[in-house]
Amino acid sequence: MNLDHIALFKHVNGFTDADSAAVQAVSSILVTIAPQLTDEFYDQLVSHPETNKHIEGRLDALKATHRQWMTELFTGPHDETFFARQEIIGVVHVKVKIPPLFVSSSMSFLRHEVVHMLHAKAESGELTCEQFEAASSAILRLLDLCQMLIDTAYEAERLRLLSEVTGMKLRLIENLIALN
Amino acid sequence: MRADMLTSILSELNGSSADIEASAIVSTDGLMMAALLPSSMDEDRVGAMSAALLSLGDRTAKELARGGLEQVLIKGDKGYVLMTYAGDDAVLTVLAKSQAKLGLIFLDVKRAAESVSKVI
Ligand code: HEM
Repeated sequence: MNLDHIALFKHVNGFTDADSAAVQAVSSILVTIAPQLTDEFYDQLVSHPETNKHIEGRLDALKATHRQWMTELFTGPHDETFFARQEIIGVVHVKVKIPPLFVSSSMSFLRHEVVHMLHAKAESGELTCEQFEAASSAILRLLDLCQMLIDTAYEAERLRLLSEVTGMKLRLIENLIALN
Repeated sequence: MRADMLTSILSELNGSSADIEASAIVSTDGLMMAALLPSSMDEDRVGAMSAALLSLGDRTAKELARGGLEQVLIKGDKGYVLMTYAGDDAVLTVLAKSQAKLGLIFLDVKRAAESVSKVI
């Protein structure tokens, strides 16, 4: 895990300890949306034949993992262990050959849905307007950070696989890329 | 110091046959260690491409049950590129003319590769 990259990402995207605190402060409300959010996430993936191929026959297990992931996202702590976990998630998806396109599109879906559901919580009065704004902007930043870490793991894992198949050292592959 | 020794091996190799036009020693991660190349050639490119081809050749020889790699030879209508390991961590790349007598060049290159492997 490249902690410098994470620090730079957080600096530029604006995720701070205050954001983490804003999420954790309302985590008991946030976790209540995890089951519905998970169901909608998988309804969306099941609804396309290409994404469904990877899910068929293991929906319940995947939903359980996903709910767990959402819970960790909502309860924190958003520390090194949490970031390392996101990289592992990336590696797992490369290993089971989920195209990056599926991850980025489903992450995009999540961003939209999470704000939508939190907005409903604000409308019902469970979250104040300030809590809704602070929590949703923090979660959006966190999801972007998660995606960056998953993407990075994808890139690293794809280069590693290329290195394994061709026998080229990773440094050599980087040098070839740098020729352009 | 080491670079000078490598350059002198290349210089001797290029002098051994009028058919050898240029040569270079590259690390297996594609970085140039010593080169006697025409100024029109980009050293970084020659380095990275040589190391890549040798890696692929090595892997292909193993996958297709041809044993340990001895050399990779590329023939174009204007001449040859010959690549061979010089020890475990370096590649010796040689550019030769199209009418070159390959047998002789192979011998010279093998000898030069052995000298390189002693230096690095
Ligand atoms: C926002 C995007 C996604 C997140 C956050 C996510 C999250 C997760 C997590 C936490 C795991 C468990 C990883 C582990 O075992 O350590 C997992 C596994 C898995 N995910 Fe995803 N996922 C996402 C997108 C997708 C998509 C789009 C697909 C397929 C279309 C997919 C299919 C799978 C499969 C098949 C596994 C099980 C891998 C195995 O252990 O065999 N995921 N995912």
